Amino acid sequence: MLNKLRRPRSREGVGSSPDGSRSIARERLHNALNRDRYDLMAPEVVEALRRDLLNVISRHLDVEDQFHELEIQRMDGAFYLVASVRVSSLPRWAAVS
Amino acid sequence: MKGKTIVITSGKGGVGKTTTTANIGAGLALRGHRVVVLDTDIGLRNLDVVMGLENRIVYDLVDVIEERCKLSQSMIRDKHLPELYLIPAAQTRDKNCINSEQLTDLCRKLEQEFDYIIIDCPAGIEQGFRNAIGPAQEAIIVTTPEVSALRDADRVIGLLEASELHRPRLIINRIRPGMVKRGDMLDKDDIVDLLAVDILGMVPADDRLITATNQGIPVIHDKKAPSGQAFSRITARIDGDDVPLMDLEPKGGLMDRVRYLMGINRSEYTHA
Repeated sequence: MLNKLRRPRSREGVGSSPDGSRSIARERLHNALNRDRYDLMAPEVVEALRRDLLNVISRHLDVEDQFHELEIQRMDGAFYLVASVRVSSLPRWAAVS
Repeated sequence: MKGKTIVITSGKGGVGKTTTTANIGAGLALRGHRVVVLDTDIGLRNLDVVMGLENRIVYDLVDVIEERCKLSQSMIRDKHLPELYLIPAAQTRDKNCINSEQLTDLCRKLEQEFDYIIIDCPAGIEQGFRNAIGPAQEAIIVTTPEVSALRDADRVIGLLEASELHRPRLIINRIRPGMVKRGDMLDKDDIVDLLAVDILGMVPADDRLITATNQGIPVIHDKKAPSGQAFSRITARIDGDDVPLMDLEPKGGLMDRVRYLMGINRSEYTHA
């Protein structure tokens, strides 16, 4: 019984970390949610992003009206927004080189 | 009079949906409202036993939808609260034998007579889930502070929002404050942070809930039960009262702590 009282309970078991299993749970939940949300991402989200990005980019650059590539990619458990769009013509830079 | 229909859902099974439905129903009736609780878990009915009404069933939800009985005949009056009624699920049919429109029609009728219609949703995200959320104007999600239940809750939030049930609120059930304090359980802040959802309430794990449920009495009738007190506050929030969320604390007494450390899991908590 005394053993039970003395034992630091949060360090028990497989995969415990110094601050208890909460942080492991948090990390695992975070990753699982991201993975699920990625798998279930609505096409409308990408479509809305496409429209907004084109609007913003064309304020600065003369670009084609569609993306060569636009997607959220999963690499090594992390997520990246990967986008590329062809520039039709570059602006004349005001800066002196 | 125009009542409100609220669906209690979760995604994952076994997190306390039915117990929550019974307690919210009883809690709203205790506050003087006319309430009907509706079990839509066809084939796996349980709200009747949780409320202690299993011996009084004559007609069920499918009977009333298929017009084998009058609406009033399918409603079972609660033993303790005369303004609380149960419409039990059918046990011998399956979830595909009714559809969302039929259930919505029924709820629209009930809204004429009752202040609150509380729908106990089946686990899962299939037809039974779709039927149950169809009539609702509001949704409450029940979860436990575990990765599996929270992941399913997140999925359900997405489906609810896609069905125009915006801003569902979350009840975190079976919290063990001692474990949270030791850093061995996800807490409210983790959950709000990761799921980006409003918290309706937190219910501590409580032996008194189990003994109440054994007797077919919603634990909200047990004034000493920490879980019952938590359900009272949740009910007040549903009813529009501004009751602040309190952090759950392990009980302070020395003997409680000794019992707790020895692993004797008594009611270890004060409030929710």
